[in-house]
Amino acid sequence: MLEIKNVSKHFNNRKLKGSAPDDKEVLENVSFDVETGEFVSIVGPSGCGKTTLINLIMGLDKPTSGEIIINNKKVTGVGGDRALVFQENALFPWLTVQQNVEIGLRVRGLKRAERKRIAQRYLDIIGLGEYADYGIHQLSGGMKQRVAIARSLALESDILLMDEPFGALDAGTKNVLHGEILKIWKKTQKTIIFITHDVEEAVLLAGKVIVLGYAPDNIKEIIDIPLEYPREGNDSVAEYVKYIKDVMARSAK
Amino acid sequence: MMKTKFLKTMKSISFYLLLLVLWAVIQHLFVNVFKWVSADMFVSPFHVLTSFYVFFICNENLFWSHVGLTLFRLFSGFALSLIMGIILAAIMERFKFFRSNIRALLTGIQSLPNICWVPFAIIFCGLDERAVFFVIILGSAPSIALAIEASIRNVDPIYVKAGRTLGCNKIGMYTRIYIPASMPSIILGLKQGWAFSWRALMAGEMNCLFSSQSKGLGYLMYNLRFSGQIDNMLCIMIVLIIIGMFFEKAVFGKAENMILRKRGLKRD
Repeated sequence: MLEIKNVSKHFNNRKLKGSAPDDKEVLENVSFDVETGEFVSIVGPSGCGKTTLINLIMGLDKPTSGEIIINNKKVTGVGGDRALVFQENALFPWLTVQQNVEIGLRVRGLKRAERKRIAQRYLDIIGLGEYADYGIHQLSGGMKQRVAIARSLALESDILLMDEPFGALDAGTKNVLHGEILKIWKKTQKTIIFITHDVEEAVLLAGKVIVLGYAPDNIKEIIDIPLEYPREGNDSVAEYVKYIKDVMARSAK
Repeated sequence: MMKTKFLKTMKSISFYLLLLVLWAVIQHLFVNVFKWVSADMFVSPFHVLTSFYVFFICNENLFWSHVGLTLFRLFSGFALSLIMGIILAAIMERFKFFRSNIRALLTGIQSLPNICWVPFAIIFCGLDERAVFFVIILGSAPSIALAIEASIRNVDPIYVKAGRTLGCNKIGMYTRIYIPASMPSIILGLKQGWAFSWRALMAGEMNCLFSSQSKGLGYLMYNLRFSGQIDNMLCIMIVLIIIGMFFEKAVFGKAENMILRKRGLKRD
């Protein structure tokens, strides 16, 4: 279980050189729990601290106060139990597709054959098994994001964090990848925290949607979505989308 | 593919032949027709070809030993500069507190024309080989260090973030992220460092070597001024230009193309 306990994050931004630092609160007293194996989506307007929250969970940054606890252990830094898929294309252009997927395993010191086996398995899962030896520049945007997902999956972490992973993709590619990510979720039983600003995407994927807003009152509402998968074509989706958009509009005032 | 390569070679050959013909015609007009300058000053390409023949064929061993020693100094001098440059870059990375000061100091040293090191090197090291190496290292190590450090500093933060989430430790960040990510720009820096080494080497060979046993193209050419052998001088200068072109194009150019092509940053 992942517990976010009274987490606050402030940034000291100097607007002008020499001016007094102004203490900007991005997250204020945020608390929520994510059960193991749950698919949670976080929606909210840009600048409300979604990526900051992900960075804190990932251990890339430290909270100003409060703590993040995973299975009774406090997060103090980056760990192998969490993996992150980025918003932008963060694949390494100096490596091939397979080398990109392997790199986390390489860092861990796995043997070549073992690495190759694991990389191939995840490339097959995301449907790019035949592209192992391609260069990153030879892939389309959707393929790149799939490789990025495979690279994170190859770490075989319990928790997968996704920071607007499909933000830059067209609707068709997005739909295909939604199906794939649900398939991966069912197969691997991972805990997934999925950040998006696309409310419909959140409702289609997540079992629980957290609506985030600006500090000091960051969590506007947490909505359970108890719908069956696949949810495309389900009339209730539109109702949930409308409800969440209303919550967001109200909190923006 | 074969055909285009052949055409390209033919184009280059005809370009240089044209240059030679132009040289011969202008030389003939200036020296023999208008009689503006003497043939000792403005030599014809045939004279230079003759001195090539004398250098390469008649005095084969002696001339090649000059070329060989110059190339040896260039390689080992560059290698030493590279090692020094890497050490300096590592110091800048490790001691962030002094980084901007070290950077400013190195920029200052780099801006000093490398011939300025010659008087100091002669006193400090003596009139021999060591002074030449001293001038090369002082001339190119700062530029290599600055280039490596700047390349690493300019790595896209998204790669740094990705590297951290993939579990790289401090050293791993350098070997797996910073260095490979900045390779295209490091190669450019090394190319520049090489050019500085080459210039510093010539400054060193011309000014730090005085023994009659000394060798090297710079030394040989500098001594020709006493006997006014302008055709031999030109011959050596052409050899120097060819050496420079070869390393710029064939070595650094190839390495650069290979790296860029792998990343899809260059079309074939």
